[in-house]
Amino acid sequence: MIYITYDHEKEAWTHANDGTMHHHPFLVGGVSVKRKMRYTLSMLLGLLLVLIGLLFPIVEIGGERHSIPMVNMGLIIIILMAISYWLHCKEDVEFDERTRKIGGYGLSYSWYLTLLLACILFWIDYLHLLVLSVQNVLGATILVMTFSAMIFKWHLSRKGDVE
Amino acid sequence: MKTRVKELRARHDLTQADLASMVGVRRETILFLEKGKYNPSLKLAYKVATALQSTIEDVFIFEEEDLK
Repeated sequence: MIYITYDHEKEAWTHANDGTMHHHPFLVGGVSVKRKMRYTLSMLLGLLLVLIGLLFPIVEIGGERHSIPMVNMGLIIIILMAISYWLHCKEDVEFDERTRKIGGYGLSYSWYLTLLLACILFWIDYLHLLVLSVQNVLGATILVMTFSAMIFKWHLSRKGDVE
Repeated sequence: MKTRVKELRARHDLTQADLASMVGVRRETILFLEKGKYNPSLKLAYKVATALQSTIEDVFIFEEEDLK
């Protein structure tokens, strides 16, 4: 058995065996460089999309038809990454076994719900109850997948565990 | 599942954030562990028990009902 005590002033752990002070092997401190890099790269991607979107009308490729969705997409990426960074920058650990488990189950439930939606849309189309375009179906799928995953994850996070 | 995480943590004068840093998880995970709402992996249970200078069976108490 390893006996350790924490010194709050020196922010280090003392081993009773030899009295040496050092960080505990499980201690994970500060926001990781890898995580900072991920946020920075995502924001740069968003900025790149905005710039390309703004360049389209200037170089006369597609005009506003292509420009507006690209600028919107870029801005959404930048805003989401900024919010995510602001929420997680104070945490030592962004993901742990509980959040990974919850994320996995959230995505799994979302996949089942989207499969159900695909079945419903298939029968709606097969029975000619509604006229569905490819754009309608893809849009509904993207929305249901994204928002259901977020809702399931939020629900499981509040619950604490998946069981 | 009942746990003695809160009691042992207080005995060692550790905050939830301290313990979370020691075992490499988020503070919320410690919170749910203390409430008995989260079943940790064997690895995390071992890390928590070690950090609290105790054994797994001292920290996490399973009852017959939990195994059903």
